Amino acid sequence: MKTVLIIEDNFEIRENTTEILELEGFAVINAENGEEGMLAATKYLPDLILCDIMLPQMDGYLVLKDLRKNPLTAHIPLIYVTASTEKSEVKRGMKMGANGYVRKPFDTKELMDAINKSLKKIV
Amino acid sequence: MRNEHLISLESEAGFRVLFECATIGILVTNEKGSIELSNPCAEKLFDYNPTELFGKPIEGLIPQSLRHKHTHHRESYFANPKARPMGLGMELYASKKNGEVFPVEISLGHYELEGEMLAVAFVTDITDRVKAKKIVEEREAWFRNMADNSPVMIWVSGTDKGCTYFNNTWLEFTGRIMEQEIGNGWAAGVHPEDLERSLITYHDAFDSRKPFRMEYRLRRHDGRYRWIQDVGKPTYFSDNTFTGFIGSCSDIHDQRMMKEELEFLVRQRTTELSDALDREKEMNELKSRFVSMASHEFRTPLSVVLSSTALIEQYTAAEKNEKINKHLTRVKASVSNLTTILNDFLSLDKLEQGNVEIERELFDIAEFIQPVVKDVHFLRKKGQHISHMHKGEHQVLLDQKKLRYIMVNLISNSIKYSPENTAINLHSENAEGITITVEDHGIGIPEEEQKHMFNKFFRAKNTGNVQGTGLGLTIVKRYVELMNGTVGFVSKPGEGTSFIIELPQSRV
Repeated sequence: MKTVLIIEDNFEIRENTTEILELEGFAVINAENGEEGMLAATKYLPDLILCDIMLPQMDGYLVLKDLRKNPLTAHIPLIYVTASTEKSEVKRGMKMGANGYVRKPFDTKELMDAINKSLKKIV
Repeated sequence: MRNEHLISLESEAGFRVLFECATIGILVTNEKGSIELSNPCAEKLFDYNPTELFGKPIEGLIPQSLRHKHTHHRESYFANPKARPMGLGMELYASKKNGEVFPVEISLGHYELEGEMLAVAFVTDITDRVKAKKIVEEREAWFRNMADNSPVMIWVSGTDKGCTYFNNTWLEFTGRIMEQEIGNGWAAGVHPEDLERSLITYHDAFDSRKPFRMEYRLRRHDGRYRWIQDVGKPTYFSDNTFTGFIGSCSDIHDQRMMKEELEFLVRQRTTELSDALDREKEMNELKSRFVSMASHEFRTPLSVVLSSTALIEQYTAAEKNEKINKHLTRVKASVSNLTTILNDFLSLDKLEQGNVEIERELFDIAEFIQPVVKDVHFLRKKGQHISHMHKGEHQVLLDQKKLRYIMVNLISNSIKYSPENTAINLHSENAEGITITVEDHGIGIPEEEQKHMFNKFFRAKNTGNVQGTGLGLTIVKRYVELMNGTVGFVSKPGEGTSFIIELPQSRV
């Protein structure tokens, strides 16, 4: 069973995404901010991370940066899930080494496509 | 006596040559006025034969009207003889043998010979000089007359910078007389605020012998100051000797006032426009921020709605409840609709801010259209069928995302505005360029509204309660134009509409 770490500050989205992924057969770990997310990532070494960009204090970019710096977590694929409409923001994330992005609001299919694509690349 | 004179002159050969060859007429008379001696020049001047003048009264060489006065002058001279010019300050005239009068200049001298006093008159014909002087005087009078009648004010200055002449127009303007104005008198009429500046300009130009142009206020005869434009130029004699300056002035008060008023109005209007522009810019920024904020903030609750819907769908899948499914479909469609609207607002705002760039990539257009059609399938009404035909080369170099938006928009419009059981036909062709046609058999566009179809927020009257923002086609047109293409349509109300997009093929 693959493990997905969700870093998302909005409670409803976090919980709904968790449920959707659990129904799809994933084990899910939650974090509601960047710092928590980094702790969870190093502790559980998930197979994939879904991360919001606009997070309080430590934002999605910093999470990715720290993640890639740490040899333990450097390989974990990260997908940004964002409400941002600025292309430049997504581009910045992709340039920093994100593996994909999903725009809010997303439907299940879009999310699963992005997750499966990233996991396939790893395998 | 005459012979003795001749002998005494002959004895002085040098003096004789002088007498004979002099180009001045020499006449010697005795106290009674008889001519005792005349030289060839004098004879020639008065048109007499040699020796013909001898013994003739001197008054015979004087115009008749003046003769009677001369007798008296002659007597006075002999009473007090001395070398002097004759008739100082007067115009003198002489008379030829035939009575022709001509102007002369005469100097007088005297000597005594054997107890007799003799007067010598040296006569010069000054006809040419008088003529030349007259011409100069007439010309000057003509110029002065012209200057005095000129509509512009004219002044003349000498080499010492002081003014020597002002024409009547100037004097009439200032209401002063020439004596008050000449020298530096004119400066008294210049507005105190303009005087220093004007004098500097004048002196600088004068010292460098350069033309100048200046404006200053000059007091008019009624005490009011008027703006004057003064144009000065150095003047020279024909031999290039500097003679001073000449200047002409025009009253430009009204023009200047008008110009100042106009400039004031222009400044005022510019400020107004710039303020309006600033306000508009501010409003635009505010609008952009709002659109961006709204778009961002709406997405979070929409995400919740959509993901909750997806979960309900999952949890109720087993129940196969048609009503639940119907409502779930509605919620999903509404979220999708709302997302499209948000995206449209955002796209248009970016287009208007000039923040949209074309990103071309090479792809297979036939393969590209299939999934696009699939994506809008769920919007179809009962019995609506979408077909696609492609002709020509499959590979195109276009902005896939923009083209996707264009296609989704046109196909969804065809679906929205066509009744059930109608066909929507897509044709694409890649030959010289790329042509894409989206043809439907829908309600069509009223002819009188066709020209507004690409305007922002415009919606045709026959759209009724079909939802839409009126932004889709505006964005389509802008995207097509960004790719250097054109978009148009052919439509007949009640029969249908065909949108045609033509895009140039960019080479790799």
